[in-house]
Amino acid sequence: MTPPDSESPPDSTGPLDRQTLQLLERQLASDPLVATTALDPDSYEPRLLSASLEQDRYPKSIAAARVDIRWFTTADFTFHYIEDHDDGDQWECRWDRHPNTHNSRLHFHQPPTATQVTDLDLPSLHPLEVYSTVLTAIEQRLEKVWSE
Amino acid sequence: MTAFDPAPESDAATQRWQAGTDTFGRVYNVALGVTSPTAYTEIATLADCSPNAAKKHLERLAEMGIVRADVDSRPAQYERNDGYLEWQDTSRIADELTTDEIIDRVATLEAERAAYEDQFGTTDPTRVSVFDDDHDDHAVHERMTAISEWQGIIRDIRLYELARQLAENDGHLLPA
Repeated sequence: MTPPDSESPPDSTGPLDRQTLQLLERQLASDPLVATTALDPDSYEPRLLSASLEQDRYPKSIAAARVDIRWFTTADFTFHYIEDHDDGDQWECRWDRHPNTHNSRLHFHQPPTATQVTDLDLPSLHPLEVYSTVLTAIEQRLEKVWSE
Repeated sequence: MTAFDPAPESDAATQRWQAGTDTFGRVYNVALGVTSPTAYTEIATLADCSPNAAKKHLERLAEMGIVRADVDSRPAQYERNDGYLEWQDTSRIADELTTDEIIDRVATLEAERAAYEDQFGTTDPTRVSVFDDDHDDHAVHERMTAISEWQGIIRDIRLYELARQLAENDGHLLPA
């Protein structure tokens, strides 16, 4: 097994970070790209933050797009972006930070299937900065889907 | 099509969450995401304000109980006050849910906790590695989610138990 990098705690992860999920939900709710937000199963026991993106920003061939977010007390996270295409395909990718065997703690699962993994470098690991980077990357993806 | 860039360098990225917020709002939001002692100068950079403004607002947030201050370090360091924020969450639950609803939720969570204890053969999730034997990437994600959820369940049970006490004491920590 490849050892996790030196900053890592043992090969485990903490519970979800309620405060960070609530902070991110407030931010997403006011983001121009976001239509609705939801904490699953509910705001008393948040386990997953899901944001549906504005459908009128997408071409008709893309039926829905959303970002699923988990943020852990160990400062690990996953941001999972998923487009549902009309032909039944999904186009997805994810920004991840967690102990793993494939490469560095901070890494990116490449689209379109999120199976190929590459190292990721982010300017800051603050939740608001990570959120901003992810949503900005999605906006750049949006520019491309119109020209495809 | 060119490759997808997961971390585009753009001014829009850093400004994305800051639009329409005043300096206090930005310092407050940054502080809520700071989970280890962090120099106010660094918080100022994240909040896009002067170090003096950040320090002034952080001191106010410390007086309110929302952040914890370590003013003996140079420069002074601040972090989110988890104890205070947990109490706020607990207080909201005590306010919005009935005692019966809280008891129902605890019963459901205890059943889920028991299922995880069976699945992993221990009562302590911190002793379980997210890596299983075959190192399959998908399996790591699934285990990570499961272990995290298990830890969350244990914490939520404690939170609800505290909320029930608050509800029974009419919102007070101690009986009158």
